[in-house]
Amino acid sequence: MGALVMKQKIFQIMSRIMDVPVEQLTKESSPDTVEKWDSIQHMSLVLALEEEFNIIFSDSEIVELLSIELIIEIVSLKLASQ
Amino acid sequence: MKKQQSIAEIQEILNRTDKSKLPEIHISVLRNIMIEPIIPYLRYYALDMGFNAHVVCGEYDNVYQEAVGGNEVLFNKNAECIIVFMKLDTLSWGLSRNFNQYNQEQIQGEVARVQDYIKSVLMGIRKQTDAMILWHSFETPTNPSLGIWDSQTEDGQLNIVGVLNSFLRKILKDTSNAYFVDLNLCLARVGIAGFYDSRYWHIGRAPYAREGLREIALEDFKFIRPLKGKNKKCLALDCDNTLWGGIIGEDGLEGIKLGKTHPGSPYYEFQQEIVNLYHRGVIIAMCSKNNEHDVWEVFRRHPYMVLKEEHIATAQINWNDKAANLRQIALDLNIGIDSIVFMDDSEFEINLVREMLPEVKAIHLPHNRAVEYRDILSRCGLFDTLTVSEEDKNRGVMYKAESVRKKLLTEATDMISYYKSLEMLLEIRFANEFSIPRIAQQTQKTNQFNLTTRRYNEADIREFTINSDSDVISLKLIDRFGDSGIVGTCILRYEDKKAIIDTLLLSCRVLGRGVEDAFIIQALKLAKKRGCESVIGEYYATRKNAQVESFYSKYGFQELSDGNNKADKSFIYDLMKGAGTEPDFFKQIDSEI
Repeated sequence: MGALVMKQKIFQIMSRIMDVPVEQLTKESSPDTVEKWDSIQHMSLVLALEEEFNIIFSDSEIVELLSIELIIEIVSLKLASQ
Repeated sequence: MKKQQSIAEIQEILNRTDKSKLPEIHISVLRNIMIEPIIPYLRYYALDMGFNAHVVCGEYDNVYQEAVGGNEVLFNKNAECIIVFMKLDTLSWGLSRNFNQYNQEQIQGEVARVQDYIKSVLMGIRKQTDAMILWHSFETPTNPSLGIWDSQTEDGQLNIVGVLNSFLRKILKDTSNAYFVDLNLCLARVGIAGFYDSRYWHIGRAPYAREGLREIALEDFKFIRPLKGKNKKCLALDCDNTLWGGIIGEDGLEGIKLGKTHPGSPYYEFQQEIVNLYHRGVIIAMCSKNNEHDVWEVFRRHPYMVLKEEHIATAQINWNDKAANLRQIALDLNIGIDSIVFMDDSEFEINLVREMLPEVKAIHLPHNRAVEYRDILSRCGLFDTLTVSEEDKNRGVMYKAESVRKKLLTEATDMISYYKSLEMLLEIRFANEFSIPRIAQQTQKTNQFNLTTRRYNEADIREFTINSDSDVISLKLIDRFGDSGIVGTCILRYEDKKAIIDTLLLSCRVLGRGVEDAFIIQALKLAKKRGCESVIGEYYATRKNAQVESFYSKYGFQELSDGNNKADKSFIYDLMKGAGTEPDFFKQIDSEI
């Protein structure tokens, strides 16, 4: 999977799970800027990302995924190491 | 089969679907774990059933406070389903995690404490609402505390969890409209790796993984679907590459795959599962493109047909399109098109039916994977009913008789002689302990011929029976084709010389035989006997009962302009003019009134 496709997918998943239009999301989007992004919706986000990319985050990674930029970074690392 | 939708896709469907016109269902969740990620799955399965679900969760580990102390948000007047997640790990750290450090006395003390807790919570919920309660069982520990010895002794953790589950099952069974949801079945189907998520257990006390959550929500909806009368009633089947492997018209009776060994055994076992459903009250119909003669030859002459002609209520075996044939099957059986599940190996036919009849649940059987047919059918969960009654076990016979009656009707010259030819015998009885379960079930399930669509449980019916200001009567029909069992219910309430028809319903499979003519007159006679001077009939419109909108007008009732303003229509019957007489086309009317 190319980096661009992966990024698009992450934005799309974020948009669906948090119910915000893709245009309103940026790399800096985080629980502070996205209204629905609380600890509960974070669980759904993690489950959706794992399902889409067929990866498994460790417990310490889960609690670090706190902006779109960090998500892209960690997902890239996981995909690269597969 | 359709690919399972991912969480992101489900969320997208939920975000984008216009739910404003859908009926609503309110679900409240009490829990001692974090369970919020199940909400999208619950809402998705509700949407699949045609409902917009509102799900509210109580506070984390506040079950006792909410149930016993009261909570108006969770137990609001719209709540129709209360889901309880009471995980042993939170409820009793001792029994779940420190088991070996406890002596027998301490263990028994913990068991008693947990049982008292369950009892208080259940009673607390019931005090606040009559809604359906779905209580999730305790999961069997997969690595019990005493290792292999645990299975050998009654003092082990496995047995203790079993004792708690038995207690729970019993107390729920003794509570009306409360059900035991067996999480061990969900765990077994998914497998432990897909069921639990230990990361989120530690991060946020959320024990279940994606697949586990989906499976639990699916299990919950096996209960909610019949609660809303949305369980499927009829399974319509293709023949070639569905009931047997190969094509009968080309391969012939000896050439098709069907038998006790491979490659015929997957079809044999699929048929066994179909017959099991038949004995649970599911109506079996054939919908295939074949020469009809060929198909019945297989039914009559193939030694390994488990499914027999007697199981088939009606058949459309011809070269018409399958959507038209499914419509005909619904007409033949007098059931809604939305209560049919259609199974076929042809993607073309499945897509055609999905396109033309979206109300029908069309399930694709991939014919190179016949080994999975049985599982696809048994795990679909669409036919589940909250109870299986004696009537259910015989329903197939009754529906078959119904389609024979239809044939006779086309031959009879006029209706009266047709009715007479049926040799109908009616039995009208006051509700008793034997009939109460069936009567309650009828109020839950009957949609079309139902004037008020009030849903009652057994306790409600019993109360109507005991009270001196109300009566419950049931109607049983027997004709030359067989015993249809209890097919009608009427509840009368009396208020100052007036009888109000609280409930009047008939099972749709007996409509069009003049039975209602006799039943309404019996109800009027009962009101007269109780000293009433008039009878009030009401009509509450639903999406399915338009056919009875003007029912009362046909029987000499006058429409009231100033009746009960909650009802869509109100009617009055003046008993001074007498109750009338039943039509004379019945062979016998045997009444307790």
